[in-house]
Amino acid sequence: MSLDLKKLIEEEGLLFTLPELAMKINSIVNDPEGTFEDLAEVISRDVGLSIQLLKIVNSGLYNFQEPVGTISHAISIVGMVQLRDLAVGSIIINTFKELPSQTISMKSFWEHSIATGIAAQTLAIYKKELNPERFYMAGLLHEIGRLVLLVKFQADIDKVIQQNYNDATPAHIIENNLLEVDHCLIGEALLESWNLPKYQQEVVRYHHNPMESEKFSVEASIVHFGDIIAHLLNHSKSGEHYIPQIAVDAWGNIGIPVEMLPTILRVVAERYEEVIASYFA
Amino acid sequence: MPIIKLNKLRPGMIPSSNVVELNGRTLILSGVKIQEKHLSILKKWGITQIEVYGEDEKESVVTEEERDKYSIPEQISDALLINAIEECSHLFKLNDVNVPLTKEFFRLAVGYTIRNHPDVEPFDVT
Repeated sequence: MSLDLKKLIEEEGLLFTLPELAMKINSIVNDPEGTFEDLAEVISRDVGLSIQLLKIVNSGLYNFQEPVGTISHAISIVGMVQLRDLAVGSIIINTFKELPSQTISMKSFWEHSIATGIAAQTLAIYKKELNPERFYMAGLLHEIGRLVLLVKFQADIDKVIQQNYNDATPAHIIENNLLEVDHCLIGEALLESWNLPKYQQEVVRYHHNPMESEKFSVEASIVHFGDIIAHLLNHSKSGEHYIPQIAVDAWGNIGIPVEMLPTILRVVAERYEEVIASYFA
Repeated sequence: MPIIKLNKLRPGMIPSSNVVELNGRTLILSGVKIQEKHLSILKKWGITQIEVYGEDEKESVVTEEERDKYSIPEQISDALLINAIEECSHLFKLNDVNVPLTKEFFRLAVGYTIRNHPDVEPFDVT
């Protein structure tokens, strides 16, 4: 590869730095000595974030019987890892919500990303994956590399979008032809620079071709189909005009009967309406 | 396509183009079957006549079997279904819809395209 991805991300400096709060939250969860109380304390200090997280935990994403009123309570029922994912996800969305772009509306971008996260999590639940919640974050971030492209190569991205529409060629292929890099690779590099888990990095890299992931092809397949479902439900405004190529072979990794799809889509559509309100009230 | 005066317009007839009021706001989209409530809306907005599909035009479009496949509510017109199928065929350009899995995704995409239509009452896509 002729482009140095690490350098590319570093050059953008602060813009693509994960805010300190997210770094702190991430490091507490990664630290074997980090405790439940440490995490609750750090999150609770940010009132806006705490309110947003409580809204999400009380939304249809979880369907808890009793309302959850505090961050400590939220951690005790969803777990530290999952609350970390929700918190870091919220911080990333809030950080990049205002990214100036004439090409792609940031609201649409995140709506599609959130729909993908919900769809991936729902597929994981029906697949009876352990910790299906972790797929929310993986789905949420699957297109994050596109934001770097938008900032760094604005004019080229306009061309990519135009060519994607005119020639019906997948965007990542045009990006590769034009820039020798694509949003999948950049996303992987960005998540690596943020010290997010390895499986999330791989999922972002292989969300268009999940069977090529050596270690995490199941995870990548779940997010791949989450992305397809988000497109189907009409949240397809992330810069791709067409429904991406469906990796039919990867459906075997999901192992859910095709007849379940209508039910899964209905669940995703219902959850989406509730969750989206937590982010864009 | 026949132009029908408002007093001759009946539920079940299907506008062949968008019904637009003077200020440009769309009242009924083309392809959406006229319902009882539409008649008073049109009257309120001073619409005197609209263009609808002729009997033969709407009969010829979708087979019973095709409608069953998409399992969409009765009040959805054939024209709306056909528009949705066309729109989805365009969106699925990168995919081969003859592959069984893709075919099911396509079928559901048509259902959701209709469901997301602003003039359609929400229904379960099954």
